[in-house]
Amino acid sequence: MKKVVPIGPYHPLQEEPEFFKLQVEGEKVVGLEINIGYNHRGHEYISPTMTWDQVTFLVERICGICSNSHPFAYVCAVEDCAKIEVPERAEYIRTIVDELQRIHSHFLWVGLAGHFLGYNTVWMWFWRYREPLLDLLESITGNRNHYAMMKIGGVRRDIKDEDIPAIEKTLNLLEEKTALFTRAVLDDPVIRARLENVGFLRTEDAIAYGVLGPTARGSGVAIDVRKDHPNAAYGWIPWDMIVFDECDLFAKAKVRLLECLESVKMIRECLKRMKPGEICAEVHEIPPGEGIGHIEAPRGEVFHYIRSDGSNMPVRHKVRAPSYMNVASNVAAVKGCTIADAVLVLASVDPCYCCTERVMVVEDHKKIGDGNYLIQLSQKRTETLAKRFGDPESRLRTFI
Amino acid sequence: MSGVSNRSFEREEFEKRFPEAKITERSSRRVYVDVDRAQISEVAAFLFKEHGIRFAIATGTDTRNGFEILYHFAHDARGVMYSVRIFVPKEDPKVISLGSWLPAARWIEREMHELLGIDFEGHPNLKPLLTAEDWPRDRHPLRRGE
Amino acid sequence: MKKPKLRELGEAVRAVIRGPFTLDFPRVSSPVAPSFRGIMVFEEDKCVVCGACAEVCPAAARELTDFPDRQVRRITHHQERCIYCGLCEAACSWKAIRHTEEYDLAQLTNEGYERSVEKELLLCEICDEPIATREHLLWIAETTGELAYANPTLAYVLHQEIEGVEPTLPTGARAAYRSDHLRLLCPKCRREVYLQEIWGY
Repeated sequence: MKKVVPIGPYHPLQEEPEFFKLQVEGEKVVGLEINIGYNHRGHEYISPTMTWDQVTFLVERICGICSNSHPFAYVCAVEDCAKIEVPERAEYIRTIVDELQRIHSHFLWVGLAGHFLGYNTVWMWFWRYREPLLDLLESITGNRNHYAMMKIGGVRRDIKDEDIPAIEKTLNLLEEKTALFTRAVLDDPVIRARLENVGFLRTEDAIAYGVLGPTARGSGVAIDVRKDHPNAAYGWIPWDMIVFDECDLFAKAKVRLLECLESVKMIRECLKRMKPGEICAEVHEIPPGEGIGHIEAPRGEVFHYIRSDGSNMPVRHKVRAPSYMNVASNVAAVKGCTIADAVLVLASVDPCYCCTERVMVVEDHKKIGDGNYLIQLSQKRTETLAKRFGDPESRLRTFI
Repeated sequence: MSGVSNRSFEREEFEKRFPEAKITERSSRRVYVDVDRAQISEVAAFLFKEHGIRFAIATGTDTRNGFEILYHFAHDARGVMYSVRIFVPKEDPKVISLGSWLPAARWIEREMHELLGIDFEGHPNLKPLLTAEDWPRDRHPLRRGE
Repeated sequence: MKKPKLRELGEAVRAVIRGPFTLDFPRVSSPVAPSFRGIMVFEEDKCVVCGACAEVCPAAARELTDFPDRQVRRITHHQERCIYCGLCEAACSWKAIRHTEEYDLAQLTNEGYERSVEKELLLCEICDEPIATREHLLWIAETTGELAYANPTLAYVLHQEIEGVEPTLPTGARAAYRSDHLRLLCPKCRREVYLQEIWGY
């Protein structure tokens, strides 16, 4: 007998507005229906009413967490159309800001995943060490989010030499703490039991759905826009792509954690190689044509397409965030999970929309519980597993 | 490295299979291919099924010459983006759906259907994706003059 | 798993000693970095009310309004719409706009978020259309140097500044005539005056 468990229009973990209808038989999920569109703001409709430079700020506000990715992809698209050469120093600065953003985004995800699993200490610790990172971004760019750094032809602000010791100090701190917490999280047997072999997204499904970012790299699909279509400084510095074959949630968590360490290395390389110079090319007009820009955001490939008719405003602007492809793949990933696991699976693609709040679990038209109920369900399961592993009191776990 | 195979193909192979296609190389990384709308499913199958080239997204635009749909395929092994362009006449806004065999194209075809009014024949679930439930179905926001 | 527990123990002890990272804002102030893009201030003595900031603002937080009856041009800043991007600061040639380190905008009413600067607006002596503010034209004249004298409007503004002559009042619209050469004219009327001078009446 099928029971429908609607999760939404607000996801309890990520606080994202999506409506998932899980079709459940007994304890197992057998199907999924996804409704989105609760945050459709009509960016593609607004873009042609603003000038080229103003659109950079419009797209920056598509997302708060990956707020640098959208302007980055957009300016790459315009530079592709107008064939603008970006100065070398600007490419390094773009890479540095983008990688700092990646670390902060992955920390955010790991923290929330920890909270959902019942590991609230993990949550607090990861977010506590996210603060020096945000302070660093504030001193470089002027704000903790919405950095206003990208400009067609370069960047708006320079990284001053006197800031570099502060950057290096923060990077050392981040590297030390990330390594510490990564080992702590990955070594924990209960976390492994919760995440391993759960939310299986087979490689063939990953390719068929066109998933991107850590969701793909955790399923053995070795794609990364930074390696395959390198722009900015990604082609000039040595770094490794993190790919795991296991296709489960644990693989995705490993990809995100290890990518943070890789990002720290990349920023160090950029700082080493950066030479003094111009930070922006002179741009006079955008000739008629079309341009495509795509870069690797923390969640996957962000794709921008613009078309110009030679005037000072775009004619068509298409934005595709990575969650568009990743969330659709939940249909394949969530089959066979329990309800307690399903909510974590739905969050493992790190969906990025914006924030609203309402969730209900209904059975036979009776409301059983709300979002907190689902979180408690998941935390209870962790407790059960912990007892089974003989590890009822882990220092990482506090049930707030 | 398991999973994806991103086999390269040569331009000659493509030109032999689709002689009417017009290929424009805007840069070393951007290739635009103009095909007739009747051929889009075969071109997409050539790129995705035979050569494993990832489908990135599709872009629909309302232009003077009809609805222009660009299907963007990202060739990750070579670092090239292939954008396949078709024109769909406004009086007959129909094209065969890729979503019938390519899950990655399902959502974007639903979006183009509701925002531009293009009918994708054979799509398994052409329900609106982004607009509100009570949005009038004959109004298409991305059409010019609406 | 003894060793991992020691790792975490070290961190836990550190956390207990240091206390929470959160500040008890607003009881305690939360300082920002020196380059923080905070609330903007506009310096009235430097601003010439040219409207460049209003052109570039992505959020339409800057509004340029003309009051021809009072002969002033006003630039208004709507603080509640500002997105702190800094485009106006970059566009201002007079460095009249800058970010401060303030960010706290909370107040109990919805009023009081607007700031404005008003400067004297010069009107065309023939058609009464606004040309620009006196300060803006003065700046153009001073920056152009001796070439300013090729344009009688600029020369006239400069002349008034030096000699301290009373500015003329609008005389109402009338047909252009040769002596209108040396009047304060908008670009459209100036073109008409020159063309009629060359081709005659």
